[in-house]
Amino acid sequence: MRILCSAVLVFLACSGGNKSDNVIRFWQFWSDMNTKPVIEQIAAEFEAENPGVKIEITDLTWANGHDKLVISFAANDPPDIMELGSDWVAEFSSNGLLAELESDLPENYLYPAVWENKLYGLPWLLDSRLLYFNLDLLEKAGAEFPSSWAELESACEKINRLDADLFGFGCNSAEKHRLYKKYLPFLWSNGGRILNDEGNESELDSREAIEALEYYLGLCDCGVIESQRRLEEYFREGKIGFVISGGWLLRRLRANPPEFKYRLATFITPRGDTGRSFFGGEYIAVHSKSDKIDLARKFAEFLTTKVNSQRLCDAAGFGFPPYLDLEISDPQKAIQARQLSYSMAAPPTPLWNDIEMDIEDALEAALYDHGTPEEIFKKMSETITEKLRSAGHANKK
Amino acid sequence: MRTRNKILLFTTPWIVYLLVFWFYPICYSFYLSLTEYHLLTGASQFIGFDNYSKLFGDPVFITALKNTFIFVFGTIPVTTILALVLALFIAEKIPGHRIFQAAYFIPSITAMVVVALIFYNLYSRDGYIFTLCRMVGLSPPVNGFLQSESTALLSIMAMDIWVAIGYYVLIFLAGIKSIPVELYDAARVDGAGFIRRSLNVTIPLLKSTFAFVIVLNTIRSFQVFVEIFVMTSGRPFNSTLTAVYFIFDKGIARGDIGYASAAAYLLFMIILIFSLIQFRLTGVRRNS
Amino acid sequence: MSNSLSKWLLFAFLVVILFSTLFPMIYMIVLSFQNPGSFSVDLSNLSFTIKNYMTVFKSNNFGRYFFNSIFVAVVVTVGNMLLCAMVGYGLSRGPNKITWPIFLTAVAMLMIPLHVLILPIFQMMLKLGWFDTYMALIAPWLVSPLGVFLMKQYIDGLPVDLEDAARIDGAGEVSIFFKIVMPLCKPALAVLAVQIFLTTWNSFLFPKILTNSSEMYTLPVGLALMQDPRSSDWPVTMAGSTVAALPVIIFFLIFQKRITEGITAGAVKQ
Repeated sequence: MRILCSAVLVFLACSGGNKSDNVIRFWQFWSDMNTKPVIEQIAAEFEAENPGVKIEITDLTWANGHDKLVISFAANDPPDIMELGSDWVAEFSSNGLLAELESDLPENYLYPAVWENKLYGLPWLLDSRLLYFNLDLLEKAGAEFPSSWAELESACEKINRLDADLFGFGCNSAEKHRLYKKYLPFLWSNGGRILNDEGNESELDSREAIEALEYYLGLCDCGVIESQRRLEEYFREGKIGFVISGGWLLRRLRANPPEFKYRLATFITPRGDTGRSFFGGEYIAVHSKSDKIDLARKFAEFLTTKVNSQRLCDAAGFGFPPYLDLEISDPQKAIQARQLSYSMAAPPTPLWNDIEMDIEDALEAALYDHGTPEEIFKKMSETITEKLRSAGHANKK
Repeated sequence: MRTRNKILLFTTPWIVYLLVFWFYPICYSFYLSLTEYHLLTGASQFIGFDNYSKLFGDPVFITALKNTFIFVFGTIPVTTILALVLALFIAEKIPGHRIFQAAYFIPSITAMVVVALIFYNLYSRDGYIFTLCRMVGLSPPVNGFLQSESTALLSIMAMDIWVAIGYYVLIFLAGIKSIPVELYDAARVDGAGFIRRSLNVTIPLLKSTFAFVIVLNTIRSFQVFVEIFVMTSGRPFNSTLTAVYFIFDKGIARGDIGYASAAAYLLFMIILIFSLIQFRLTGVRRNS
Repeated sequence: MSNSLSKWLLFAFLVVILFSTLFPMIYMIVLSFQNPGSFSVDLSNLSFTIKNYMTVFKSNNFGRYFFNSIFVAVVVTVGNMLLCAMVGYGLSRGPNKITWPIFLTAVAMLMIPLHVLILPIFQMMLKLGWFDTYMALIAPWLVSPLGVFLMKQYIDGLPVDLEDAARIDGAGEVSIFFKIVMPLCKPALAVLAVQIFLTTWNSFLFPKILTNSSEMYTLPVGLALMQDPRSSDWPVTMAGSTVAALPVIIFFLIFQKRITEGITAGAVKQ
């Protein structure tokens, strides 16, 4: 029996992770060879400024990071400080799992991390989705550069007709955390919203929302449905007229210049004004019950200084620090920055993870013709409203 | 007699294991299924049989069950018949039969994750299977096999048959080898050819092997998960959603442990009933 | 004459199946050597680079996954060999009235897939504090119903005389088990080892759910998570797949006979 017990102890000791006083556990999503070293270096600088402190970095992936974080809280073993997707902050903060933070960054960048008037996350790197056009295909199809929804759709159809292996638009297949981000810009550009001001009712059954969906489906009809990764590959191979992507696609296009001319453009409203897009943000949050909470807060602030955020963006090759006074000389990046200033995030609600899946299920149903867009969205909207009501949450301002 | 009782102590590991890892989870699972339990916060509340009534009204769960049944009843006959035919062929001592036997077996010792990744690539638009279909004049779904509702589940089933066959070939071969040679000789003297010999002698004598193959395959197929996790996540539009994936998705990804436990418990009962029916039908009995 | 013709037809048929069986594996290996970023094997433009393997081991903690997979599989296999032999011995030699119902529980458990018990086991591991440790990966698998079944059946067939003789010489039960029974069980133990090792090495759902940090991932779990559009590409994924699959295939080709016996052991005993 004693042998068994000590064996158990040895195992636990082997795998329980280092929990000594001066170690801060930091979970983040950057594991590629360009960015990881920069993050390690920033951590090392923090360690140098705070003698005795050790930062332990763990990598997450977007595919499983959310589940891993949830499970770590359930297992009562969460990190002291973590990077969160902007739309996750409310879920964790509303359950009292995150520590309150302070910041004087621009309010519209802080907005996704605010819950009941308190701030729970610091923006680190922001990036919005925008449109990438293949100018050669546009020209070949005899289409002008589109300046309204109608022109965009007709350009899509024209390109799609060129050849069986060429497509107008790159439409996302139902990938978790990706599909809804492609629809939201059309929703917002059309003047629609996801939730009402109180955050207790879905507005996805509105005329604007359904119109945007119908328009989006129209684009998919003259496009190819694939995973984001394949869509980007197709675009780089010159097979797709336009795709929606983030700043990382520009980095790849520059690293391996394609044989065609391309152009970045912001989303447009139906009439052609600058449209609203989705901004994805990476936020830094601190665990509320961490025993190194002050140190973790300090590290969170250190990570998100203008200089350090910029270093991350430079290494990643995309994204912008959460500051307004950025000097951008690169014209393509300037378009991205412009789109970012016109972008919105998902409304902060603890149920977002669930709502997001409902929206994606509905988009998928519409994409695969399981009912009319109106029916599908009305039903989904009802489901969401019901969930919000029964949870009794409202983001009191 | 006292020694015999002492020897009984040797069974302790199994007793402990049975209580801790089977009996307790089976009971606890039932308890969980009667609660509303949220993973993130750990808040739990007893709600009786609400989860079960909710399940029966949940079209997604019904779809998951339906797909699981399609998967089970679609793959098993094909796998069994193909494996039997191949085993009969190989048993004819064709030149190189050892190589065939070994090669057919390789997919089933390869991790399902690996197989699923390879086939994900092959099935995609512009993947090899896609291109091959085009070359022979078929028109595969524009977006690849896994993105189309009508082909996604079938494609995964085809892959699963591909994986499983070699394993069952082996089992059939073992069964064939245990048939007394005299029976074959008698049939040969009567001038029976390969087909008649197989139909009249081999196959009837493989009854218990059949039973084994089918029971094993049923249990395995009811649990199909990895393929779905890697290749489709149950998509498109739940057309590849299976019961175990449903449990995983609701329980772990959405954190609704109580609801997922109810689904798990139902699946547990279904498998139990099926195994019992199969044991009855196939007449497998253990002689002590 | 028609006989030899049909033999050739048969042969051709088997070769076709052989090709379709091996093709995906070969495809995996070839794709793993293509230039990073390629989607599939372009036969007109083949390349050969080992970069992908370097990427796999550098950026993915792959060495650790590999170690975990081996460590867990070995411990579980050895544990099963010892414990299942013990239980099998107890069931075979103990008083029949008691051992028979116990044996039946093992047979019943053979039929229930543990998959339906993931949530309670997950909860149990959280509460025990074993979640995300080697304990979670190992403890639930140390005594398999299959092993109990196999070992009991095998030991039933061993003669009791040797044990009785040792008992008369005054040997204790434990030393009888280790010195007499275990050595005689070697063939059955080999069979069991192969089965357990393969199942453990390839298992996915439980390691996926019972671990949370990449230090604890096994190869299949690590592999399945490599499909991140921002950071990975196919040749790298295939390089990782090859690393996970090849050792088992080579192992199989070397010990083919033993393994074949191991897999079929359960079937012929009926």
